[in-house]
Amino acid sequence: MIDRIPILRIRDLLLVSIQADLHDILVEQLQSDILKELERKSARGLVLDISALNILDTYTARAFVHTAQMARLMGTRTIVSGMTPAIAMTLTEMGFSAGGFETALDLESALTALSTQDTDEE
Amino acid sequence: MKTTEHAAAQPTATADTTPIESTATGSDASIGFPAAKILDSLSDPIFVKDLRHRWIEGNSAFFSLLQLSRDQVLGKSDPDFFPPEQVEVFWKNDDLLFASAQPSENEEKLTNAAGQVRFIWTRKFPLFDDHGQVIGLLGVITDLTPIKVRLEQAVRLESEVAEQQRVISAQSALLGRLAVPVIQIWEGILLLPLVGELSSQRSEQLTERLLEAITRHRAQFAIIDITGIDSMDAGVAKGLVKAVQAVALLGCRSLMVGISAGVAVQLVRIGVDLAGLTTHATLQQGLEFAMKQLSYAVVRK
Repeated sequence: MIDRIPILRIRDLLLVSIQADLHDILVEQLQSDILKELERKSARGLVLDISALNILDTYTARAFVHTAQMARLMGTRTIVSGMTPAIAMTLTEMGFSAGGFETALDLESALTALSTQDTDEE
Repeated sequence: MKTTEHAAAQPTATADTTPIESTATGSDASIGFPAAKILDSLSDPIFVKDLRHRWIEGNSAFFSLLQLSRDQVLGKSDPDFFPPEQVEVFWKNDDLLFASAQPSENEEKLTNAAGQVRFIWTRKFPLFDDHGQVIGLLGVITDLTPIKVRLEQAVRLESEVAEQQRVISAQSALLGRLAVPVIQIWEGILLLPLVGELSSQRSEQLTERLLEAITRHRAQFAIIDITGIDSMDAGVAKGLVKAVQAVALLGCRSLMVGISAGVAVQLVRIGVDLAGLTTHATLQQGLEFAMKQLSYAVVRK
């Protein structure tokens, strides 16, 4: 069992590729790791890539929303990328609305979105 | 001894119910009524065979089952009337009973003199002499043919219904696919033209297909065109909103175009949460907006 998810820093971006199914403790650990890293050195953007995930519960989704809100307070824009159709359908079925964080089709479009300076937020 | 009791018990039971018109009361009637007549009024065929498989007695129902007269049958045996394979079955069951002296029951096939095939349920009981030796058997037959025919009809009907059901569901799946086309009209832009009646089931289906198409085409915009829809109920409206939310989770933006006045009124009355829904009046405007967002310029030369 993985107890920590690595956070990569590429210039002024943080990249988190989540490849193991998440459990509550791991999610909390990830959140605090991200915030500590941002505190250590600020970043312009944060990408959470979940393209390898098959399952995502609403608890984790809400945790992502909270992480995005906290990162925003610290001056970082968060994008969740690579959600599969199955997860998207399940989350909406469970009444989870998409407003909480920005999304991108895949890692590439997330990086493109972050590199364009103009922030076209909804 | 016990079989004679058994044989006697049955007619008495029927005698209580059959001759209602007889003036005498219950017990008197069974005394004055000949056993043969009682057996003849029974619709179930009954027969008696000796150890050499010859019929030595039978009721009228038995003879009419065979389509033969009493005189033709008595003293004869199975090979005189039945095809060899049936005789084999009958005799085998007879011999088993003679050897074991135990009652038996079997489902059998019988072809009578008229060539009709009957499905019968035969119960056979051993007949004993005074010394307890088996001297023959008593057979009681229930003709299952009508039940069998009805059962077969029911089974056939059931399989026909299942077949029809299968065709219907295959057709509705086909219609569902036909009814929800997803078209890539420009690089990164998908069009979902909705026409006709939307059901909750269909709106779920279109969500699935739309999401699948978005990931396949790596689309950044999905335009949902509902010009062809003139009325919408709460379930469908919520389904569409869910579709839009799911699309957003993928990282794709959705536009809804072609909302008619009627649908606009309905959407507001239903109280659907329309925040986060980008709308444009026509497909052209929607497409223009999406292309502009993707940094395409449409210029007339």
